[in-house]
Amino acid sequence: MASIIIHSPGLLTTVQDFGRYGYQRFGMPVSGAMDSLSLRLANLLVGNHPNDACLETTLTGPEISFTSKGVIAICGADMNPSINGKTIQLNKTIEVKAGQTLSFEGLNYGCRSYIAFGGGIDTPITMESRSTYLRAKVGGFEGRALKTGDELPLGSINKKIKSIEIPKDFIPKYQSNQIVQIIAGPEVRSFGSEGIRNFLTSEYAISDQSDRMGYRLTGPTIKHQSNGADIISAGISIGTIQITGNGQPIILMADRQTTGGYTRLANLISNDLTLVAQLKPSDRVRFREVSLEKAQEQLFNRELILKKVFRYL
Amino acid sequence: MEIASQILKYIPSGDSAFIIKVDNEISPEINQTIRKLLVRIEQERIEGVVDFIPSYNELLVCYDPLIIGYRKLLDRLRLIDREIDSVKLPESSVIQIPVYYGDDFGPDLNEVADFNSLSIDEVIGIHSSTNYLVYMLGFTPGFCYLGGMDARIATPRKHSPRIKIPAGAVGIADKQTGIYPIESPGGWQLIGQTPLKLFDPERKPEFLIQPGDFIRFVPVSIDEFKRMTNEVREGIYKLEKSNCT
Repeated sequence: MASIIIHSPGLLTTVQDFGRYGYQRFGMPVSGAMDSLSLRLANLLVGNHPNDACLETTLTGPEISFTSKGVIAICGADMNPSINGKTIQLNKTIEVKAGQTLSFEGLNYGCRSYIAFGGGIDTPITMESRSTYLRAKVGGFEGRALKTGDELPLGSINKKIKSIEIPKDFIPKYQSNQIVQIIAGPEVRSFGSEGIRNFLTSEYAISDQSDRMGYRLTGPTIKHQSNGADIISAGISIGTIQITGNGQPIILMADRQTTGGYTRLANLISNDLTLVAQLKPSDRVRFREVSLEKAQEQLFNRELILKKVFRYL
Repeated sequence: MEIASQILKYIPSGDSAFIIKVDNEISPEINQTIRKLLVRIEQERIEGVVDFIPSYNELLVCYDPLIIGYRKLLDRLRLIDREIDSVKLPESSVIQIPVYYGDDFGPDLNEVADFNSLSIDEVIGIHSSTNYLVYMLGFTPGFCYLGGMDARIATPRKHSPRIKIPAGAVGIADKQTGIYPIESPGGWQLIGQTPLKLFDPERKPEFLIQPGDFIRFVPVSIDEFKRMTNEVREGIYKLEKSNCT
């Protein structure tokens, strides 16, 4: 059976797919890829189902060897990947031979790379997903981040995979300064006009307290009106932006708690999740408001292009 | 019940979820409306709806906008919500949660008793003589937000949180009581420990308790606690439930 062996894990490398749905009413976070677009693209390049499990790496890449020949693809952050020392391209199907080693020279842009392997990572399915939820040690490889010496099984490939490349203009521009779009949230009226102006006109920095659960931002204070920062605990969705008592935003990401007690000022739109997931501590972000119609239209248009690209390929 | 559908508010939570909000307060009646909504919407099996988060006074409906756009979803939800008053909820269970109170398993039991000028037995007696409504789950997998704790045992949180609290710890924080389902840090006053696993990803069902259930804490001796711990480990523990009537 084909497998991969981890020779060095990188800062934080976990097994992820689209996440674990259907259990949020029990307080179970969704988890899954922070940048699900990149996960999906990587899977498509190696002939996998879009939801197959990949490795998500963070800031520094792992070193991995292959026990048999196969195909891989890397999407998302550019950590300068190479095979046996020879640089390989991102966003492209890459053939690998038994015994070869994939390594990463260092971060060029972005924060998280997604490595898809032909056949997918075949770790056990827990509650309908292979995603790792670190805090409760659920899913992935033994519920934890990968370590040196781990060996992960791959699924089998029973078709010929043709080598393809995603056109450059389809790949989002991952920069350390992003403008992202938001929709007003349920507690937008809890804020004064000055606070909202600050939120929509200022630059916020990603703090080093950011992780898969959420991005803590620092910047001009977003003041609450008299009612304060607390609400009756209620559900939160991917990209919900909470404002804590000190007036600073938190963007809730893949490992977010299902419910929270802070005011929900806004929500990131789905189309821009990929941009935020590729921001790293000390990167900057600005927010622009958009309507719900426009947000869904953008997602729909991206899907049309994606379908065209993959049919054409 | 007089909660009519016209006071439901629909609020977008981004482009892939809707909040259906009833009222801005915590009450068993409002919470029941949320659960009725959930039952009714689930019956409808709307294609593209992928998950739900019921809470005290809201239902978050997660959907895939590539399968169903927000207008279409909103129209379908509004049609359904007129019918929620007639939804029959399954009968609530009272789930018995055995607890060994005090000693090393409840290191703050003395503090809770002292703070409220009660004896330890009085604290245990008060804590274990109420059916607590499970309003919602959240915070960590399997954590229940319980209503109905007697104010006589309310105790402020610890000044400095503990770094590690074991799964199954039973605690008090201000006017709330609860059970830690997974090992986590926390500032609750710990008064006891249950041998049950509220959450076990390798078991079916993974979660013992759902929104709308009631739980009742039952004091057990250290011998019973040890026996139950073994039974839970071997997967032969039988959860005791009764109907709430």
